Amino acid sequence: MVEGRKRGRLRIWLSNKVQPFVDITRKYRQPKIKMTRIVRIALLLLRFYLILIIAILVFKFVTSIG
Amino acid sequence: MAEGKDIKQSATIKGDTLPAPIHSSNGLAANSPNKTMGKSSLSLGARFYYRYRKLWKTLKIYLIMAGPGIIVMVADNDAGGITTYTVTGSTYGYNLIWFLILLGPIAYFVQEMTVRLGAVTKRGHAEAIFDAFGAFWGWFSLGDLALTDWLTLITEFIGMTAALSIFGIPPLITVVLVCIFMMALVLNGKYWTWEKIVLVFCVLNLIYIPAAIMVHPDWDRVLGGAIPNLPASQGLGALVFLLMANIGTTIAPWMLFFQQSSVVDKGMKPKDIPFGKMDTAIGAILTVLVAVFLIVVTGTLLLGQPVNSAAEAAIALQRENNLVGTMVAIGLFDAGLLGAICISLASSWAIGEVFGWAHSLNSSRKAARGFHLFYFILLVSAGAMVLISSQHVLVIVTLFVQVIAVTLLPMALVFLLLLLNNEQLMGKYKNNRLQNIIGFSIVSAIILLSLLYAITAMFPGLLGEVG
Repeated sequence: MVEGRKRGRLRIWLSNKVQPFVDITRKYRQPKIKMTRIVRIALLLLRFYLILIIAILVFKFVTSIG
Repeated sequence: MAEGKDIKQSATIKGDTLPAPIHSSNGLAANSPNKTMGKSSLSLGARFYYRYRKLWKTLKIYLIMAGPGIIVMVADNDAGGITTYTVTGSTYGYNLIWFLILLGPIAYFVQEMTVRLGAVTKRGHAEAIFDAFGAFWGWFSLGDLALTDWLTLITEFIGMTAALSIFGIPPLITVVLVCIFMMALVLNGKYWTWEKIVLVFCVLNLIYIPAAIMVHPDWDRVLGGAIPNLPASQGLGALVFLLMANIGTTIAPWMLFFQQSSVVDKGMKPKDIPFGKMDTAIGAILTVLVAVFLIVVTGTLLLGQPVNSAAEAAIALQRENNLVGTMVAIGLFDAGLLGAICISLASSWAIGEVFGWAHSLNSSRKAARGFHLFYFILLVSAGAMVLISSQHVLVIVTLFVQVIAVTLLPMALVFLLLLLNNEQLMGKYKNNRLQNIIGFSIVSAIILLSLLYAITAMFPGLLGEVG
């Protein structure tokens, strides 16, 4: 009984902490900038850039451990 | 924000606004002494007096508006930056002065865009990214900024503790005193007070100028360093790495977030943009001056000596000239403190904007509890890391700062350019064609070099020996 109440309180506390993140994600779900061709290309290139950087980081991490 | 408005209003009441000229049909200002007095000596005197009053009033308004540009640019020469410049000077002497001079206008161009964006949208960079590009890019930018800033803050504490260790002050005392001072600075509840105190530390950063004069360099050779050349004495790999390190320390992601939030917190309006630009230009000149004079110091006294950090350089300089070494150590502490002040605020402002907390330096302690708590946690955790971590961990932190900053910089720059081209958002303040050409060239070059820098930092032997 006491254990269940504690778990319930923990769940409420956690959901209170997570809620602002959910609200912000919901608030900014749709990008407001006009999606022109240049904007689309720029965002696509940024995605490639990030994938490349993360791949390099993972490779470095794996080879360092190895 | 209210504080900023009050300041401007009081300036207007005291008659500190520029007189609006009334234009007549012949193009001359009707209230100008020219028209009534002719070309007599009295007219010349009156004209001179009018110009003098106008200039004086402009200067007074500028002094009210000055702050964000100078602070961000001088703080750009943080502990990591000072280390980069000492290594540059001791390795290549005066040969790379031209490169630092070149970085001044580039830094100005990038930072000037944040002034316009902040003054027009009244939003910080983090909030602007969330709003324009959606939650994915927003969270990614915010998370990356928070992590980069926290790691950079650790390097600032490393610099500050190392600098004060030269004077026999233990790291624990340094960290505790710095944390107390920085908390007090933010909790004072006035942007105006915070800004003016920080500006005093910016002035202290100019300590390298008298230090350079005291080492009696060969000024002809110093001027020769202002002419572009590529010294190859240490190999191409070492040269490229150092050039990229200098770029990395001159244009950093936190600077964009900091200046835009600072402009918003100060309450700058679109009509204040020219003053914001002037402020940024003066800051860019100061940052280049500090970098160049530090290179002159180390290039004169430590050329050819192996130097790995600014603290090491200060100790070596003390052996050559005790006063100059002491000045470099004081400068290193000041640089670390300025960097820490700005970096911790850049993150706290960004988090406050996105989470909707009261996040102005003018906010009361009660209203801005979340903002102050985040700032406190950031500060204390970074300070504690320096005290509890081994040297090995701190070296890894220093390496990862460079790499993680590189992931954020291109994103922040590309978003900045896209936002500055959004007519709906910027109206008449959007980038013109020339600004876009320059902006696109700078951003492309920075992205390419940043990527190369990250790869070289992780794989040092890739371009040859890095030294």
